[in-house]
Amino acid sequence: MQEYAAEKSLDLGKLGPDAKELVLLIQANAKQHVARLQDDLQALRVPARPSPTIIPQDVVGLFSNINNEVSALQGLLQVESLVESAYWNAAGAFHDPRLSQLAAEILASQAQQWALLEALLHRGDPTKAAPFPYVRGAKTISKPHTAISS
Amino acid sequence: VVSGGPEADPTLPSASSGERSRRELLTRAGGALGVAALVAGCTSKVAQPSNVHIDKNAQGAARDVTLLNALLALEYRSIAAYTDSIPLLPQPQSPPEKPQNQGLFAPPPKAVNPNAPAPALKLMIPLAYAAAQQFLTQELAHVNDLKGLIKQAGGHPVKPDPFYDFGHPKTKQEVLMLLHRTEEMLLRSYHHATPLLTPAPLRGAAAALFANHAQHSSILRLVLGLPPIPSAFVSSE
Repeated sequence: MQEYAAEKSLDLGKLGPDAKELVLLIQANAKQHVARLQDDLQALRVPARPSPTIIPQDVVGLFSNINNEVSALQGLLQVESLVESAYWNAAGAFHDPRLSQLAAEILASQAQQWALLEALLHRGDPTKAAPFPYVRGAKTISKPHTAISS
Repeated sequence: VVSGGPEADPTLPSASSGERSRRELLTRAGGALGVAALVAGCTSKVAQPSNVHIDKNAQGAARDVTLLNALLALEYRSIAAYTDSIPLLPQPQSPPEKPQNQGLFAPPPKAVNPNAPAPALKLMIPLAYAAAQQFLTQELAHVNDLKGLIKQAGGHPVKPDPFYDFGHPKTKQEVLMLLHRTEEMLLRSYHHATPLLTPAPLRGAAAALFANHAQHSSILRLVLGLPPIPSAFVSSE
């Protein structure tokens, strides 16, 4: 889902250099997360799911109307929040401590990405980049985050 | 990836003996949190008790208390570090005054073309002072949460140390490095403790705090001119 969001944002062709660099980093990190999860599933002798061919309609909807840099970053942020929520739930649900730790590591990485996307949208405002003392993500797609005009 | 921020980078004066005694005062048990909250400029918004249910008679509760107390001790240390550091960081300039000639004879505003493409967004360096204030507020919330969890697990929260020795950072860079080291220490400790906590929901609560410290570390790295996301996995390696 995150790779899809990054790909759609890059395909738009309207990202500035800083946004493009960040989205490429998010895309590269997502690939590493997937690879690590696949390795862990293999170690557990559970077949890894193939890449989903169907992206949830809500997520598709987010990226069907993006037309500029800000809307692309807003879409990415919303997907980031969904992903955070999944890893936060996983960190608190796994009984295997090693898997719980891996979920926490990826949650923290997603939280950093979220912070930088917000920093990019809000001129580096730290109250927007890390607004809450707890990172738990969002279970559903939330309202888009607004950006201050430059 | 970053563009220049609005802050100057002056060499800061070293901590005077007066400041050192203030540090001692700030880090004394009891007074530390209240003063830290004043420095953070926030007291009530951060109080968010944990809603994780912990059975204090469950197996592993005693070990959970030990792990949570170790995290609490480090959170106290970070509060002391931020409390000491904030006055040493350059404060943001006051917003510019409005121009005087806003009457009939003021020049007309520049026409804005609604069809013109918006300029590309730049990743600005956050103001170190504002970031430290924000993070201190969040450290205070973490302390409240950890204390609540420890009590639920049947333990007694540890108290802050009477004094923390942070050396004498002189420059903005040195102050930020101190804060960055503090956050890295917290990250290592949460990374170690999270999978060892017994009830699964407690691991989730710790992971939520761990991720917030990862954000702090990332923003401090950005201010320090370091890669803000050095790895796809936030671990203690």
